[in-house]
Amino acid sequence: MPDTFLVGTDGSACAERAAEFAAQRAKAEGASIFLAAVVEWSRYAFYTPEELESRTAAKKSEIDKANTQVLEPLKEKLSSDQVKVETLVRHGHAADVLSELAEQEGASQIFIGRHGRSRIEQALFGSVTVRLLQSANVPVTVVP
Amino acid sequence: MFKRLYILFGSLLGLSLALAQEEEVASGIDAAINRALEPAANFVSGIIFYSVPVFGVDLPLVVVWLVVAAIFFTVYFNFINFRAFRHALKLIKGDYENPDDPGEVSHFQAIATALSGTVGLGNIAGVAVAVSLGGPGATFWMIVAGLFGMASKFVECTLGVKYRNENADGSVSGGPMHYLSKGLAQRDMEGLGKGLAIFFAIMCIGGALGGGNMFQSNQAYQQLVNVTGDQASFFADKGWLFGIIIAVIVGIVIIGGIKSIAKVTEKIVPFMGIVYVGAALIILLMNLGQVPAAFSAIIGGAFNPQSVAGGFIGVLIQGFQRAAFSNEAGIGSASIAHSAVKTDEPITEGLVALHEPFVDTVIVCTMTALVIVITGVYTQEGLDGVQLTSAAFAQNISWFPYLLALAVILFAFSTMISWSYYGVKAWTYLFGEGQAKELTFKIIFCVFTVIGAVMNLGSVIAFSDSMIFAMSLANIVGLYIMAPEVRTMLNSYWDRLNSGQIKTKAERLQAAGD
Repeated sequence: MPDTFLVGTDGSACAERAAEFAAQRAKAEGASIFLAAVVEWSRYAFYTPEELESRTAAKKSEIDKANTQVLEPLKEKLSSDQVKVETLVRHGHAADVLSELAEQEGASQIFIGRHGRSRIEQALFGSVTVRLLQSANVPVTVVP
Repeated sequence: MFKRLYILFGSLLGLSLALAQEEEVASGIDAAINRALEPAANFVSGIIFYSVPVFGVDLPLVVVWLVVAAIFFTVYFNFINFRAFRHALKLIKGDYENPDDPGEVSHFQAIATALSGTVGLGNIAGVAVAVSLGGPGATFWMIVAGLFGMASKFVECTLGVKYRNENADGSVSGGPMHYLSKGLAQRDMEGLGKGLAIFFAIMCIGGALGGGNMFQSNQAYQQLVNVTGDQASFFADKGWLFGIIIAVIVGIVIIGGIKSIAKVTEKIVPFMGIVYVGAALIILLMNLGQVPAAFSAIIGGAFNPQSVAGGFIGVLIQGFQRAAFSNEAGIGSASIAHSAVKTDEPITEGLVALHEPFVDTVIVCTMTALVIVITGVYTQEGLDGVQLTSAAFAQNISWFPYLLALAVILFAFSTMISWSYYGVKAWTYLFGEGQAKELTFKIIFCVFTVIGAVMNLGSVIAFSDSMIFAMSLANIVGLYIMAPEVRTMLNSYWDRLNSGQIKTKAERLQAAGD
C-alpha cells in the first residue's frame, strides 16, 4: 500500500514550500499527499447566544473559505507534480488535529512549514510546529 | 448599521440633554419615573404573586407551582439530578463528541452561554435580599431549591433541542415558544400549545425587560454609587446618567452589531466568576472559626427561625423564591440558549443542563450566602441587595467592593446581552421576523435599561420577579404534558449507555483504527 504524506498548511508561503517539498518526495516515492488546513477552534470558547445560533452557518463559511483561499490554490500548484492530492478542512487546535489526522489516515510522515503566517502570533501563542514536534507519533519534516 | 446607531444615539442624546439642563431636578427625574411606574409594577406583581395565607404568612402560589414541578420532575425521572451528575460532566468535557462535530456548538459552549445569562445580579444581590428578609435559614432552602430545580432544567432543555427549528441557512431557533407550539400540536392540543406559546412570549418580553435588564442595571448602579462614596458620589442621584451610559454600550452591541464588546465580556465573565467564588472561599477560610456557627445558624434558621416574618414558611419562601429567580429552572429561558447545541441526542443537552442550577445556585449563590452569614452583616439595618453583599466581603477584604463593582457591572452586562437575545426571540415570535421589528424591541430594551437604573429596588424587584415567574406558568404546563416523552428518551439513552452502545470519542477512534 502506497505511503501517505500529511501536509499541514495555513496558506502561508512557508506552508507552500513545505507542500512542494512534500510533493517532490511523494513523486519520487510514489506516495500520495493529504493536504490539511485547520481552522483554529476550541470546544471551550465562549460565545454570545447570537453566535451560537448561527454557528453551523459560520462553520460552513469557514470551511468554504479555507477551501477556496488555501487548499484549492495549493492543490492546483501541486497538480503539475502528478501526485495524488486529497484535501480536508477541520476545526480544532492545529497541532492536535494534525497528529490525529496522521493516525487516522495512516500517514508515514508529516510535512509542515517552520513558521506560519504571523510571527507575532507565533511569539505570543506558541508555534504550531513546535507543538507538533512534541506530540506527533510519526516523523515530522520541518521546511523553512 | 450606522443609521440604527444614529437613531439610538439621537434619542438618548436628546433625552440626556433635556435632563442635563435641569440638573437640580435630576433627583426629581429619578423620583418622578419611580412614582409613575411603581403603581403599575405593584399591580402586576400583585397578580402574579397572588398569595394565600398559610400558617400566618403569605405563600405566593407561583412559588408553589415552581417547587412542586421541580420535586415532581426529580421523582418522575428517578433523581436524574444525581444519577447523571458524573455522566453530564463527561458530556461537557467532550468525551462523547462525534469526530465530525468540531467547529459546531459544543455542550460546554451551550451551557457556558446559558450560564452567562443566568449568573447575574440574582446571585449577588438577590441572595442578599433573601438572607436579609429570611435570615440565614433561607440559604438552606435556596440550596434545596437549586438541587430540585436541576430536574426542571433537564426537561426544558431536552425539549428545547428536540423541538427546535432548523432554518435553511443552518441557524437554529429553539425554546419554550417552539416546544409549546410544536410539541402540543403533535398531541392534538394545537390551540393550547399556541396559546401557551404566545403567553410565554409575552411574559418573556417582560422578563427580558425586567429581571434581565432593569434589575441588572439597578443593582450595578447601586454598587457603583456604593464604592464611589455613597451620597457623596458623583453618581449619586444620577441613575439616569448611569443608565444611559450602560444603555448606549448595550445598544452598541445589540443594535450596532459590534460583537467585539460582547466577545470580550464573554471571556471575562467566567474569569470574574472564578475570582468571585475564590474570594468567597478565602473569606470562609479567614473566618474558619465561625464556620460551624454559621452552619448551625443556617440549619437552625431553616427549621426554627427566630424573629423572621412568617417563621418557617417565610424562610422557605424566601429561599425558594431567590433560587428560582437566580437559576431560572422551570422558567424556560435557558432552553433558548441550550437549543443551539449540535447533537443527535436531545437528551444529552438536558443532562448537561443539570449542571446549570448546580453551578448557579448550589455553588455561586451559596458562596454569597455563606459570606453574608459568616460575616454577620445581614443583621445590620439599612443595607440591602448588593450593598449588603459588598459590606460582607469588605469586612475581610477591604478593597473587594471595587472588584465587586467591576464584577457586578460585567455580570449585569452579560445577563443583559443574553436576555436581550431571549427578548428578541420572543418579540419576533409574536410579531414576525425582520430587521425593523428586532430594532424596535432592541430600542425598547435600551430605554428600560435607563428606567431600571432610576427606580427603587423594591419596585424593580417586584416587577422583574413577577414577569420571570409568569413565564413558568406557561412553560411548566408544557413540561408536565411532555414529560412522558422525555422519560422515554431518557430511558432509551440510559439503556444504550449502560449497554455500551454509546461510544466515547476515544472508543470511537480506537474502533476506527482497528
